Amino acid sequence: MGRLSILLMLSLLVATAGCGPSFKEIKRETLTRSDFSTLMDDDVKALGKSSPYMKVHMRNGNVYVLEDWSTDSTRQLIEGYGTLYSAQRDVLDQRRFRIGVDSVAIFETNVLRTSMAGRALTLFMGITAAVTVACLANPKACFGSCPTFYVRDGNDARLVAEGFSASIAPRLEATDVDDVGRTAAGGEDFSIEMRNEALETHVVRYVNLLAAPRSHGGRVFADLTGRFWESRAVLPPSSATGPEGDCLALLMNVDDAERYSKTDSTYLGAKETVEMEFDRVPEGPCGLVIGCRQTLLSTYLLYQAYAYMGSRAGYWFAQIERGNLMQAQNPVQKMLGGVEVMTQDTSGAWRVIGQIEEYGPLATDVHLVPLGTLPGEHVRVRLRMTKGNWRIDYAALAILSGAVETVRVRPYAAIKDGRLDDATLDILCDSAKTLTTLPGDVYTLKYHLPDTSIDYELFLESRGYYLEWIRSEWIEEENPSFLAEMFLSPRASLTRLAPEFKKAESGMEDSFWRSRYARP
Amino acid sequence: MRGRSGIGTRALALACIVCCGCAITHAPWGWMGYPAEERAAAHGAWVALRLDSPSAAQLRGELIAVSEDSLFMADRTFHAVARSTIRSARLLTYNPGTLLMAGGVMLGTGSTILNGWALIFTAPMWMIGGAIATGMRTFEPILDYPACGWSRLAPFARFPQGLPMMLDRSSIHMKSYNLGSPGLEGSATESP
Repeated sequence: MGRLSILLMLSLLVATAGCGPSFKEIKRETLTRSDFSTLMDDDVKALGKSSPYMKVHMRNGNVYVLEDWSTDSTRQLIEGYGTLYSAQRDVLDQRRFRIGVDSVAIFETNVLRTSMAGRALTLFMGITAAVTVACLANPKACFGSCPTFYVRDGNDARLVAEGFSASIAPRLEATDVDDVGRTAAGGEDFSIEMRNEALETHVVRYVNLLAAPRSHGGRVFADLTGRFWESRAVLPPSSATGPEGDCLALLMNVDDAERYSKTDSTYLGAKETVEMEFDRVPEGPCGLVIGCRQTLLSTYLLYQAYAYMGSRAGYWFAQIERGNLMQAQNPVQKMLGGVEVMTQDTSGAWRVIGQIEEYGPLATDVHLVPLGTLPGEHVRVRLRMTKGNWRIDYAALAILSGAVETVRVRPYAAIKDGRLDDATLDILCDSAKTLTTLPGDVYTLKYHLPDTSIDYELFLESRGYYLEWIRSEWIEEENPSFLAEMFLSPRASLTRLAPEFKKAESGMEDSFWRSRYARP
Repeated sequence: MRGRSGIGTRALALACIVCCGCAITHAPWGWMGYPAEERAAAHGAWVALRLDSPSAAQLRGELIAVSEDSLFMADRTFHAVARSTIRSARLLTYNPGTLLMAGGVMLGTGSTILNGWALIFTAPMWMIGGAIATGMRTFEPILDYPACGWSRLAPFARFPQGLPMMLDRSSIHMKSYNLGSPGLEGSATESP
């Protein structure tokens, strides 16, 4: 936890502890002598507990306020340490008293109970503390990884893409192409909302739409090299089996019902495979379509690396800028790897055909891995990946009909805070300039699709990089040795970090989404 | 500008909710103790009487006792009031700590900054819920006559058993209090 966080939490706790007794209410009762004499031992015990003070009012107006009071078994005497006040409420004496019940006019008890308002405040405090602790206890599960892009369906904004997730430094600036999962007719307007929802500085060079023309009933997919392919038929798998058993139902649609597993408890780099079968595959070139996103394992390890850099994060980023420490050489990420797509050759041996390495835990992205022309009507495909590192939402075999040329569409309007922002538009349309966004910034970008009679499948092309804000709680974990271990002995790192990650793994996704930054 | 004016409007709305929803007792500041203190206090609760008689429309002070036909209270002096002449009465049985609660609500609202995006839920929860809870709190220590009968008010008198027979009434005064301002000590005049 950061110092500010701790201070705020402490303030809240101190205030709660200090004010707690003040938010009670009093239930006052009076007992006559005869009421008192009929009290059973258990009643006296319970009363003593709930009302530690007993006020004994005498006939002459004097009152004893007794603390830790008790009574004899016949209820003829009451005793306790306390103060005797006169009728004018002057203090007459202060000591241990033994009072004969015969001389008492009335007994008064006061029980404190939590009031309704106090209960409401306690509830609010509980909710706030629970949300705070969930986020702070797991700072490496806080929302992050690049700009997010939303498309509005009516009033709901749906996350459709995340841009350049692997570009964590200026030198690593990259172009990212994401399937928006939407189609639009030529001549239509299309809007995309770009948000900065993390404690990051985003530097965006451009955000364009790539409109891929498609024939009626066809689909267009992007492959790993940035080429686009049209498909006239998409076959669902006839079976899909992972280590956990049948997982076919989870892979049938892009619907957020994802197939994923937990990491290995002893080694975070342990691999697993999912095998799929496709029946009645027509002859011709085909490709495997996979809709997937990462779990938070990669994000956790990235933040862990930042934590080990600690106060020297600036130095290490300078090394990246000088080219001495390239992300591509990050052995931990290399060991985790992507989703390897494998098919069998004529001898029956499994061979890797392609690998999906699109980073990012936020939005499901759909990729095509061309498989070429496969022999026979029955095709088996195997996915190999690191356990607990990927969430697979969709898999299908696309029968490819040919490559497609896309039309690049630049935004014609940018809107910020409900107003047209021409300066931003100018920046995004000039690739020599960059737009810098800060946490909470939201831009709506409007595009006009070419005025033709054809339909388009839409893709988002974004370029830029982002800088993660180093959290104070990360700096506390500064450790050059462990940082060196990540680079020199990644297997040891992935083994050492496994138990720690396992402790947080189950609640990580929930904490992550709850820690999105929204401007109040 | 938009943001600032929005915050101002929200703060004003919150203040209105809190102010409109609070009970008014006219009790001098700090005269009644918090619930934990009142458990061991030897004096009566603060009472404000509205009488039928136009000459003494209002009386405020410490509730001394309630008998079959009279109510006894004291400010600088002792008063015996016929119950039949009392149109309404309001009893404050303890200090609700409204300011403490309002401070707690402000602190709670501020603490939601740690909730990330969830503050869009937790901050309004504190602001709206806290304002309502604070308003509710001001009513919790209050007993009103005629809504509550005299038998419910009597236990909060200095003498819940009734006025002692041989009591020198002229010796009974309202509990004194000290605000650090000598001019106000012992005064029965209410705070604004």
